[in-house]
Amino acid sequence: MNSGALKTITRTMAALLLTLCGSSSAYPQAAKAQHAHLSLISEQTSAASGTAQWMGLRFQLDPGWHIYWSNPGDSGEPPKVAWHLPGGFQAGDLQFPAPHRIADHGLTDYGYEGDVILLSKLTVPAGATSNKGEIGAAEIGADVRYLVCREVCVPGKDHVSLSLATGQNEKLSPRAELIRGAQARLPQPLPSHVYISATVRPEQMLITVSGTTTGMGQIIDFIPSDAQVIENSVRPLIFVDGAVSHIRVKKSEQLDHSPARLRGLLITSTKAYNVDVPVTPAKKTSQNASVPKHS
Amino acid sequence: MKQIRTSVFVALALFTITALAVKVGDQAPDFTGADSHGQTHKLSDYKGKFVVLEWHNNGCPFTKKHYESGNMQRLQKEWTDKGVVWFTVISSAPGAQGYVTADQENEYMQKMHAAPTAALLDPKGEIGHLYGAKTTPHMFIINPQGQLIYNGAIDDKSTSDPADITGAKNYVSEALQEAKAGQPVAVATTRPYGCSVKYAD
Repeated sequence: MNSGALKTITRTMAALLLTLCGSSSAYPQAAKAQHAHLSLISEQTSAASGTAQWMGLRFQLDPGWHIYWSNPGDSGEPPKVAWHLPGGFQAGDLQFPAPHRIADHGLTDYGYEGDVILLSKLTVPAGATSNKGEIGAAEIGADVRYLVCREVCVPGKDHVSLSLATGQNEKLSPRAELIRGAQARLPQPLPSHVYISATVRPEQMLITVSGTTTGMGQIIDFIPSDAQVIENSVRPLIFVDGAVSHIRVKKSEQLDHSPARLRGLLITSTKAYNVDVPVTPAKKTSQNASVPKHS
Repeated sequence: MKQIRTSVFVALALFTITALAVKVGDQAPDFTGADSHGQTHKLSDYKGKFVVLEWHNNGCPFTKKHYESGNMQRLQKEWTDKGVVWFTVISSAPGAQGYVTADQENEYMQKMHAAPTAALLDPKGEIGHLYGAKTTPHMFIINPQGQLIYNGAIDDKSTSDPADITGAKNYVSEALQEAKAGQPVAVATTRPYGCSVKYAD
């Protein structure tokens, strides 16, 4: 029996046990149950010398439960990972897909529900193959700390691992499709010939997107990468004037100075784009006077 | 080239902010609250003293980080010994995580050796909304003149891991030290971290 089937059976039994116990109180269960099933997947089943591939830290969350983006928003905490790698192997920083807004008692958090994969680039050193050409295994381990929440938050701690064959050529994993899907959900650089700028006023910041924006999809949101720069609970106002879009966001009430740069994700109906622009003071004569104000 | 001039106004659901957060430098809004021993406290009665407000939820992993390690109690003891008034404020609504009756809170404080001046029970969230308390913990410091001099996180390690307390820069202690020495507070506003305050919806 493969480990996947075994896990499914274990989880089904655990669910059955919970049902049989018949506890009607949500809270004690919340404290005991984990609410997230973690696994480590990879693009290849091999770790061929001198190659690089994506690994995925997969969270399968119970319905209604969520984990957090690198900027969690008003509350919460992003997952953290400590890698355990064979000598010379390297794992890159976690890459997060574009998050969703999560309303939480008047606050707004950024995170994920359902099935989410965080990516890390695994670099295999040139000497990973033994000089005798023997087939071996590279054990990749990860200690993961995360916070999983649904009304209440439960800290989670898990160890996940993966065994990759060394001394072999590259061989695609059956999980490669999942990894490709996760790659497609990563925020992308803005297309060339799209211009973006940001100006600051006492209470707001205005992001202007112009240029060849066809194919980007309709702009629907802006999510900040840095904490405490804009008010998370105030949805941006988006004003489209021909090929130019204006996105008005509310400056954080706790911000006592203007940020030098505005970093975040421009969310469109089809994709998410990375934005990192310098912030300049607004000119006095501005065409943007017609943009409705936040009430 | 045809340009279709569209003025599409995409105003997505605009959330209105229910309460304006108190800003550092502002006069701290006055309040009256009942503590877990049934005593009433009025903020303005403590003029002439430094007052710390600590938002609390005993089930929140971030609160647990600072209580199970003894960090919060150490701070409470240290600063109340130096004449600071320390209010633990509980704004969880009945039925929500962290809501406690007076007896439950007294039992908790005894078990945890908590040492605030008092624990204020705020089940309607009135004090919480007045200050715009967002998370547990969320810390505020008011100076003897009644002005807010600190608003934000307890320290600079925004995690729920108790291992991160060692080596963290404690903003509350730094602000109190500076203010007591007559110096301006260097870091007066930070992003509070933790669980959301479980207000009644």
